[in-house]
Amino acid sequence: MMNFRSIFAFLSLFLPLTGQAALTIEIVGGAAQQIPIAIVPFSQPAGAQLSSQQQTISDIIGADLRRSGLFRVLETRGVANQPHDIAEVRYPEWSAVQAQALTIGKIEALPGGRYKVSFRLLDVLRQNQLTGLEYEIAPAQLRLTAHRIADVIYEKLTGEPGVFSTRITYVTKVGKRYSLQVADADGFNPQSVVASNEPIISPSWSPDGTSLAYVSFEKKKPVVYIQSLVSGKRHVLANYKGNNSAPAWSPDGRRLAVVLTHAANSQIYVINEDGTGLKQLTSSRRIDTEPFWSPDGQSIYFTSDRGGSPQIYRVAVSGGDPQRVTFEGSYNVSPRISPDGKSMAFISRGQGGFKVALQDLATGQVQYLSDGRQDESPSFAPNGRLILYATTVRGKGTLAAVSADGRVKQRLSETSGDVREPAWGPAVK
Amino acid sequence: MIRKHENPLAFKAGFLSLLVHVIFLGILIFSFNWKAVQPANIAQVELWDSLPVEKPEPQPRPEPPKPEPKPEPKPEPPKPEPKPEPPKPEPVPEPKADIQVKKEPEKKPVEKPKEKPKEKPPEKKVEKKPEPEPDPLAELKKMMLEEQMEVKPRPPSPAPVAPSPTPAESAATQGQVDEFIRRISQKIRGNVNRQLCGSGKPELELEISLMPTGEVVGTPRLLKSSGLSACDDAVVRAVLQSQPLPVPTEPNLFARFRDLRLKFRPNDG
Repeated sequence: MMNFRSIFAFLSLFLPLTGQAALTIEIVGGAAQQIPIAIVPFSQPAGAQLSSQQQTISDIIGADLRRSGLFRVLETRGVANQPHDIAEVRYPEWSAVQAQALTIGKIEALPGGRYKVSFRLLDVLRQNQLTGLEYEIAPAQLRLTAHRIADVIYEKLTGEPGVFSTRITYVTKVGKRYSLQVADADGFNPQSVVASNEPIISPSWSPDGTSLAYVSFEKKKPVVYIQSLVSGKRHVLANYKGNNSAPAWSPDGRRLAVVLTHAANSQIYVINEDGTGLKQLTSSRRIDTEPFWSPDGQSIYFTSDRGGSPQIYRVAVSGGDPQRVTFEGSYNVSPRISPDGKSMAFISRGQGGFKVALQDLATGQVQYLSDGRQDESPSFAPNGRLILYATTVRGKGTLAAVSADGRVKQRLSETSGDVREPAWGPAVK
Repeated sequence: MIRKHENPLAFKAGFLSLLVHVIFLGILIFSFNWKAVQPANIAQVELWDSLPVEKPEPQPRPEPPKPEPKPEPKPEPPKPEPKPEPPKPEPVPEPKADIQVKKEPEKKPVEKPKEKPKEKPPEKKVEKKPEPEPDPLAELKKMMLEEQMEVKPRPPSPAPVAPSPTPAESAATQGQVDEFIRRISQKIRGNVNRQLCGSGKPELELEISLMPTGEVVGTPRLLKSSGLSACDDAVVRAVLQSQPLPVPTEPNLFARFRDLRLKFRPNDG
C-alpha cells in the first residue's frame, strides 16, 4: 500500500535523530614546542647552602630539563608563592605564569652529615600531584640526585626515560696531550681515564657502563685496550700485527667487533672480551671498517668501499654475504644503530659538507640532522632521542647534540683545546 | 457490489487507523525529550584546521571558503521562511511528477490526499501553506521535518565543513557558531605539544563541559586514547591551559557549546 510505504519511509528518517548531542570540534596539529615547568628553589637545611659547583639542586634540575629541548623552565623569582610543602602551594599563582607543571622540594639534614632530599612534581592545571620521591644522600651525591630527579620529571611528563644521570666519554687534545675523559651528560665532573702524548681514538662503552674499549697509539701503533672505570685496570684486547682499531661492544657485553689489518686490508673480526676466540667476519679485497652491532646482537653494520665508494653494509654475526644499506649519495660512513633498532645515524657527505644523517631502516628514508661542514662520530643517547656528535667551530673540535627529529640543536660548552670522538654511555640504575 | 462498498470503507478505515498511529507516534516522540541537552537546533560540525602554525595567518584563511555558501542567505531578512519558497518550485514539481507517475497506475481517488503528505519529506524548506485535510498531522510532520533537515548535509559545501545549519535557524547564527568553533580550535591547538605524541598518527578524543565563563568543568574526559599516555596528558593539559575558552555570551548560542567533543590529530597538518 502506497501510504504505508510512504509513512514507513518517512518514519525511517527518524533513525539518525538518536545521535549524540554535543558539538564536535576537530583540532589538527599542535603549535606548542615545550612543556612550561616551574622549579621552586628547594628549601635548604638550616645554616647550609648545599650546592655543587655553584649550582643548587633546582639549578641543576632546571638546566637538565632545559637542555633536553622539551621543557621551558620558567622564572620563579617573581612569584609570591614559594612553596616547599604541598600544603603551601597556591595553584592559581602558578597557572597565572602559564606553568603546566611545578616542582617543589626540601633538603633536610640527617644525623651523620647526610641529607634527605624530597621533591614533588605537581600538575598545575589539574591541581594534583604527579609523583614525589625521597632520597638519603651524602653531600657529594647532590649533583647525581639532581640528575635523578630531572630524569623522573622528564619521564613522567614525556613518557620517555630520561638520560640526565648518564655519562659521556670523549677525547680532548690540549697542546700535544691527549686525554680520554668521562664526564656527566651535562659535561660536568670530567675525569681522565687515560692520557698520553700519542693519539687516543674510538672509545666504546661496555653495555653495563663499567668499562671502555679504546684505541691508543702509545705503542706507536694502534692497539685496542679495555679499561675498567671502576678499578682503573686495563688489558689489551687486540694487538695483532698491523692495525687494531674500531672496537665495538656486542649488546650482551661478551664480545667485541674490531678491525684488523694483520691478514690483508682492514677487515672486521669478532673477538671475546678477554681477547680470545678471534673470528674473521668479512673478507673482501677492499676496506671494511667501523663495525657497530644491532641492538638484537644479530647483525653488524659497517663501512666498506667494496662497491666503489664508502657505503654502509650489514652482515649477520653468524656470517654470510653483507647487504648494502645506504643508497643515497656517494659517501656514507660511521653507522650507529638507535637503541630501538629502527633507525641508523651515520655521516653522509652532502649539502656542502659531512653531516649527521638519520636513515629509517624500514623505509630507507634519509633525513639530514646536523648542519656543520665536518661533523663526525655520531652517538645515540640511551633513550634514542638525542644524538651526540663532534663538530668543528672556528677550527676547533667541539661536541654538539641534535634530537633525532632534528628539532632541537645544542652545542656543548667549549673547553680549552679540541674535543673529539664522543660516545654516550648507557643508562645505569 | 459488496466489493465496491468494502474498498472505499476499508481504505478510509485503514487511513484513519494509520492517522491515529502517526498522531500517537508523534505524541510519543514529542512528549519524551530524546535529546540529552537541547530539543532542537543541534548541528554536528567538523572543522579541519590544516593551516600553518602562525596564529594571525590561519584566522583569515578558513573564512573565505566558509562564507561562500552563506552570503546568499545572510543578506536575506532574518526570517527565511518567505524567501526559501521561490527555490522550492524547482524540487517540488519533480517529486510531484515522480509521485504522479508512480500513482497513475494505482487508484486515482487516493492520489490527492496522499500526494500532499508525500511531497513534504523531500522538501528541504519549511512550508507554512495550510493543508486542507490533515492539519494536525501536517504540522507534526513539518516539525519533524525541521529536525530532520538539521541532520542532513548540505551538498555544495566546501571541503572542510560537512553538515549544514538548519534552515529554520538564521544562517547568521550558524556563522557565529562556526566562528567560535574556529576560535576554540585555534586556541587549543596553540597549546598542543605534538612532540610528546611520538612519530605515528595518533588520534584522541576528549569530552568537556564548559561554563558560560569559558572555564572547563572538572577535567576533560578521555573518550579515545592516543595509545601514548604522555600524548593524552599533553592534550588534556593543552585544553586546560586554553581556559577560558572563547564561547558566545548569548545564552541560546552558548547552549550549543556547553558540551563539546574534541577530536585531536596532533601529528597531522
